Amino acid sequence: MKKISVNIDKLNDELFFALHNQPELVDDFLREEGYEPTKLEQSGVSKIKAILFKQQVAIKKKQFNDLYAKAIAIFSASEAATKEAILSLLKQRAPRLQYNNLEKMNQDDLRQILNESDLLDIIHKIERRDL
Amino acid sequence: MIDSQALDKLKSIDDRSWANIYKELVLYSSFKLKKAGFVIRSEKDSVDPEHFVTVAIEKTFEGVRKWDFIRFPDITIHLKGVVKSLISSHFKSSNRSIVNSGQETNVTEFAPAYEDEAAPIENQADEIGTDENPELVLINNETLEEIEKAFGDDNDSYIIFCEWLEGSPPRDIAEAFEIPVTEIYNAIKKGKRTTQKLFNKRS
Repeated sequence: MKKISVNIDKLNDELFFALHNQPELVDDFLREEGYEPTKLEQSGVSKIKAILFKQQVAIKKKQFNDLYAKAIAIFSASEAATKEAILSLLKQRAPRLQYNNLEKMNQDDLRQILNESDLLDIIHKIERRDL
Repeated sequence: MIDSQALDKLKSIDDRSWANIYKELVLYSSFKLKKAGFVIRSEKDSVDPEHFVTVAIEKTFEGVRKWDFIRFPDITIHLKGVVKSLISSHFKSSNRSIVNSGQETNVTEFAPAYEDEAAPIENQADEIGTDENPELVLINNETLEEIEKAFGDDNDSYIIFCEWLEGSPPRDIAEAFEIPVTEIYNAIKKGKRTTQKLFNKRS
């Protein structure tokens, strides 16, 4: 009895590479599969934009978290005089600040007192030894 | 988290290119799920082809599936590998390791090797008796006759479709038959459509 053995995976791969970068042929095949190519590409691009946006927000969030962690480390490692200057600056920003010791301050506390740009400014001042 | 270089590269892809990439991947995903029309999809694995494409893109943007853009500069090739891997994992998780697509045809389906090193590669050699053909469809004579009948008078398309099924690339078939390659693609489209209808009737 005649029998043919078909390697479906290989066929799919070959067809994929044969149609690769041939948008008109891809559209023809998509129509055969019941898709409307224009609608499909609109939905695809909008999904990809949403994914990109979500990812950029996640990266930004991580960068900010890293920034506050870095600030705490820099504050703690500063010389005594610099620590005094930092505390004084923070107290100007938040008069009700209870801390007398920077080591006790965590990232959340710092986030409530300073926004990212102020924080960057202080870090730069410490690095330039302006504080 | 994705590295900044890879993200910059992804951000530099324009909308027109993304549109084409997305369509190519959906088509590939659809082919892979439907197995050239030989496999009738059951409820438990009837996940939309677009789902796998979206997840593949998400995982690449998140850096979960790392894009080695030096090794695979074409993002479509990387994403195709991720889609392939996701579908294989889905088949395994839905216990769809062996599917009988019709009374005369034995369809055996397994996770294929994935070209991205980061993806898991399962050795399914014992189940199929060979480690060279991860996804095989065995079609016997009666089934071939049914397919031929379903093609009607268009015997040329049937022959071309069989040549393609047996592994001849479309360009080689076009050269052998001395016809434009677009006619080969038309025969493949017709063959897939015909086969799908035939097996849908059987179910």
